[in-house]
Amino acid sequence: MIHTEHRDDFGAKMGMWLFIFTELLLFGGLFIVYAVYRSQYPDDFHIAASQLNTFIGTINTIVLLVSSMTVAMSITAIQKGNKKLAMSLIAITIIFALVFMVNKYFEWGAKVHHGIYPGSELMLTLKRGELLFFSLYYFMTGLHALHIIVGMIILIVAFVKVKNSKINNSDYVLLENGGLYWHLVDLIWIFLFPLLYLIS
Amino acid sequence: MELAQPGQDFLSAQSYNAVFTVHGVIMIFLVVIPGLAAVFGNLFMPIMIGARDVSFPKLNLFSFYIYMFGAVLAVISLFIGKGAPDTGWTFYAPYSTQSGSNVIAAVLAAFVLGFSSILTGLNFIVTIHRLRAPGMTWFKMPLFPWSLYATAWIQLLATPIVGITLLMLVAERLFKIGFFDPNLGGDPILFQHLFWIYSHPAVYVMILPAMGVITEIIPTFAKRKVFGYKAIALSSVAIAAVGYLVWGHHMYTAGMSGTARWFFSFLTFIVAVPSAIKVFNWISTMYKGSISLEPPFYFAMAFIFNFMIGGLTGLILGSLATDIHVHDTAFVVAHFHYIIFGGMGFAFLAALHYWFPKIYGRMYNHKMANWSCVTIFVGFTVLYFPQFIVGLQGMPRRYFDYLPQFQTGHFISAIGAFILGIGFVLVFMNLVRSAKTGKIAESNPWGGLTLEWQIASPPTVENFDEIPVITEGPYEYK
Amino acid sequence: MTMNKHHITDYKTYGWVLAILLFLTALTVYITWFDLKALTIAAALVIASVKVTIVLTYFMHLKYDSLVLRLMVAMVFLLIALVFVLTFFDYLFR
Repeated sequence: MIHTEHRDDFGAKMGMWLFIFTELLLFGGLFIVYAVYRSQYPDDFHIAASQLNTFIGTINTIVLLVSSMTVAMSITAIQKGNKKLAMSLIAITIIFALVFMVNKYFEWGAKVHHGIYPGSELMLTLKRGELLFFSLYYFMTGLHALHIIVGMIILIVAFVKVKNSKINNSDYVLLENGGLYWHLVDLIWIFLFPLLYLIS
Repeated sequence: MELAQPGQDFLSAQSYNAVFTVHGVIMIFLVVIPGLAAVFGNLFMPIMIGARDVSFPKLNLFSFYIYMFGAVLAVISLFIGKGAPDTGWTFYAPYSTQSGSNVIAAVLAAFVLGFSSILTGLNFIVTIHRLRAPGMTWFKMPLFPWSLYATAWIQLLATPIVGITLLMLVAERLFKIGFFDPNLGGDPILFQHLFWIYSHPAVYVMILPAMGVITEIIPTFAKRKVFGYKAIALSSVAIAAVGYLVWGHHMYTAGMSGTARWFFSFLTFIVAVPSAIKVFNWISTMYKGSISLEPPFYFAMAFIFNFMIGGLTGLILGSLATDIHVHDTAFVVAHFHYIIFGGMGFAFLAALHYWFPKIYGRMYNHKMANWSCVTIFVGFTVLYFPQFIVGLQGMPRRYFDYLPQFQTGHFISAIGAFILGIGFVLVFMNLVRSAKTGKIAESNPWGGLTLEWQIASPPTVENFDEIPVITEGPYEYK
Repeated sequence: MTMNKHHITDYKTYGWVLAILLFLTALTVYITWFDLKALTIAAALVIASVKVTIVLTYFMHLKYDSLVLRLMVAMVFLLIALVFVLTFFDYLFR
C-alpha cells in the first residue's frame, strides 16, 4: 500500500457489484409496476400474455444461458493463461448476443405488423389491462435489449484487450466485470421470461 | 415576494407555478442533494480516513461532468419549448403527463443528476471499504465518513427507482403509454409510490452528512471525546435503513389503504429514534466540555435548534390524524424548510466555516462570521416560523394568492426573507475576501484531532506524504 | 490482500451448471401446459429464483467471493423484497 500507483482489483469488483445493485433496483422498480398492475388486471394480463411468442422467448432464454456460461468459461481460460480459448469464448458470447437481438427484432417486428406497438390505434382500443401489459412488455424488453447492446460493447472491448494482452492471466478484472455485467443481463431475463411469456 | 400582499402583484398564476417548480427542482436536485456530501465529502472524506484520493478518481470527474450537464439541462428547461415546467418538483402524474410545459427536459435533468449522484455514492462506498488507512478499523473511523457511508448507500439504492420512474414518465409522454394515466388504465398513486421510494430517502441524503458535520464540529470545540461514538455511527446506518422504508408518509391523503397508512406511520416514528439519539449525544458531548465559542460552533448550535423544531414538527406530520389537518399546507413547507434549510443549510455553513482555513489556508473574520450567523438565524426564523402558524390556520401550499386572514403571517415571512438575504451577503463577503487576503491560518486552528487537521493547509495534492497508521479512535481528547 | 488469490472454476463445473439451468428452463415451460391455477405464478417465480441463485453463486462467483459482497447482495435482494411488501400493503388492503 506504500506505492502511489496501486491496483485494487477487489475494489474494482466491488464497484461493479454496486453498479449491478443499481441496475437491479432499476428493474426492481419496473417489476413493482408490473406486479401492481397484474394484481389489478389479472384477466387482461392473462389474455395479452398468451399472444406473445413463447417459442422465441424460450429460444432467447437458452441463448442467454449458454452465453452466460461461455463468458464465465472465458474467465477460467484467461486465468489458466489460455489466450486463444478465451478470445474464442468471448467471440461466441458476442455472437449469441447478436442472435438474441435478431430474435428480438423478429418478435417485435411481428407485433408491430399486427398493429400492436406503443401509441398505435389498435393499442388504444384494447382493454386497459392488455394495453398496460403491452406497454410494459415493450418498455421492459426494450430496456433489457438496451442492456444487451451495452453488454455487447463491453464484451467487444474486452475481446480487443485480450487480443492485445492488456487483459492477461495476472490482470483480468476488466473481463471479470464485463462478465458480471453480462450475467446481470441474464439475471433480469430469467425473471422477465416467465413473467411476460409464460404466465398465461 | 409574491405572497407578501394578497392579490396578484407581479407574477401570474402560471409563472408562479413555474417558479416554484424550478425552485424545487434546482434546490433539491442541484443544491441540497449533492451539496454537503459531494463538496465536503469529496474534499475531506479521503483525508479523514487517511487515503490519498477516492477509489475511482476518473469516475468522480466523470460524475462531476454529468452533474454539470444535468444542471445545464435543468436551466435550459426553463427557456426552451412551451415554457418552464409547472408541475411542482414532484412531477406528480397524471398532470405531468399532460401539462403542455417543458416537463421532459426537466425530468431528464433530474435523471442525469441522479446518475451523477449514484456514481458518487458508489465511489464513496468502495473508498471507505478499501482505502482506510492501516489500523483504522470501522469503529476508529471519524463520524463524518460514517454518515457519508450511510448516505452513499441511500444514493446508490434509492436513485435507480426514481430513475426508472422518470424514464417511464418520459416514455408515457412520448409514446402515449399509459403507465400512470388513469384514462389508459394506469394508476397515478403508483407514481407517487415510486417517486417517494426515492425522494423520501433523498431527504436523508441531505440530512445525514449534515449530522456528520455537526458530529465533527461539536467534539472539536467542546474538546471532549464524542459521547456514544458507536451509537452515533450506527444510528446513521439505522436512519438510512429505516428511512428507506417510510416513503408512504407522503401519501396519507392520496388514497392509500388504511393498513398501509398505519404501517408507514409506525415506521416514521421509528426514524425519530436514531435521530433523537444523535441529538442527545451531541448535547451530552458538550456537557462539562471546555467549549470554545467560535463561528462554526454557533452554526452548529443553530443547526441543532432548527433540527429539533423540524424534527418535532415532523412527528406531527407523521401521525395520521394530525397530518390530515395540515397536509399540503404551509405547515409542511415550514417543516421541510426547517429540516433542509435550517438543518442542512446551517450544517453547510458550519462546515464551510469549520473547514475554510483548511481549504484556503487562510482565516476569516470571526466577528463578522458570528454576526452573519446571527443574522441568518434571525432571518430564517422570522421567515419560516410564521409558516407553521398560517399552515395550522389552513393556508395551503403552492397557492399564489390567499385569503386576507393569512396576511400577517406572510408579511412577517417576507421581512424574514430580506434579513436572510442580508445574512447570506455577509457570509459571502466575509469568505470571499478572506480567501484572498485573510490572515494565514495555522494547519490546525481549532485543535481538531481527526486526520485532516494533521496535514498542511491547504492540503497537498496527494494529501499525505506517508499514509498514517492509526492506533487509537478519533476524538481522544485528553 | 488475500483477494488476489482467485479461485479458478473448471470448465466441467460450468457445464453442469448450464445443464441444470437448461433443465429448469424446460421445467418452467413444461408446467405451463398444465393449469395450476393460483400456483402458476408461484411456481414460475420459485423456479426463476432458483435459477437466479444458481447464476449468482456459480457464474458470478459469489460462492468464492468475500463475505462482504455476499452480504451486500443478500441485503439488496432483501430490500427489494421489503419494498414489494410495503407497496402491496397499500394495494392488497385498499
